[in-house]
Amino acid sequence: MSAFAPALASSYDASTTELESPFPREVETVFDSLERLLTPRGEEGRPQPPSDELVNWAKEVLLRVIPSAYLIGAEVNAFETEIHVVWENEGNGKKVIVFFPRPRELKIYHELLQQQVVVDHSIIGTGGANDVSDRLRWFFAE
Amino acid sequence: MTFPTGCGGSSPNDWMAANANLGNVLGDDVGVFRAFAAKGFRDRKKNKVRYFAYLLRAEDVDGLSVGLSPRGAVKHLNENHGYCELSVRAAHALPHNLQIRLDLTDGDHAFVCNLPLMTISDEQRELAVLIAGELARLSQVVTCDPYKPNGCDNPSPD
Repeated sequence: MSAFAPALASSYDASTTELESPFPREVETVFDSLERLLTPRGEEGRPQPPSDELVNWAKEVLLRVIPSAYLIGAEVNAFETEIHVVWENEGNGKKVIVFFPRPRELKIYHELLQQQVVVDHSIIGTGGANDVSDRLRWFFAE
Repeated sequence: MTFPTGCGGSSPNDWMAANANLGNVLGDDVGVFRAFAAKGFRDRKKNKVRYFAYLLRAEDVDGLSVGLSPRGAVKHLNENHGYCELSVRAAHALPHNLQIRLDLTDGDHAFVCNLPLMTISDEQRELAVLIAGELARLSQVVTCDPYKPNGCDNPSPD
């Protein structure tokens, strides 16, 4: 029995570490932000918010496809009927915006700011979820 | 050069003819005020303006609304979440042919013209976000609390 003890202890430690990692909190934060877009709706005088279908599409991409580590710092916003998710690092000038304009559609914008000047920017207009991961890999790279 | 939206028409002549509300281009020596129509227009913690504040909407047919005073900036809104100030000189100096023009129907109001509408195409979306980000960086937050022109401010924390 004692021969297995180190392995069991190691396994336990790894599991504990995973529970203590910040990633589940980030997933929860993004999920809560998306849920908030569902309410309130239909209030008189207020712009039409993103549809339930669009919120579900954003959930599918952000919570099921993109590695949870990439959700760190993601800010979910509604702009008219669209959903914009923004990652911005003021330290290195990188910014990524994933647009969800319609269900099953997304667009990926990135820019690089150096000394208050945008030196690089582009948009992928027909991107898939894997393109989001690729761009976020760039965002989180040193 | 394109005159995509926000001031109608595809050429300068079409553009002016189509927008009877537009007056002269403002001089560079003044500042204009952009109201925060939504909380997402500004970052209260960082005291910064976000690009959302300068994204044109389809209904902004004359251009993006700005005031020549804080009162002029918020007067057409049911509610606001503060406002920022933008130097006309700095906006005109950007390489995007932006023009800030007086509103002929309201001496305390103006429009930022030549902003792209992001829903037209991917190219326009890229440009719209780029310019909106540049204008946001040029802007100074004055307040992130609701501005009540009649003096009865009632700040509500986010």
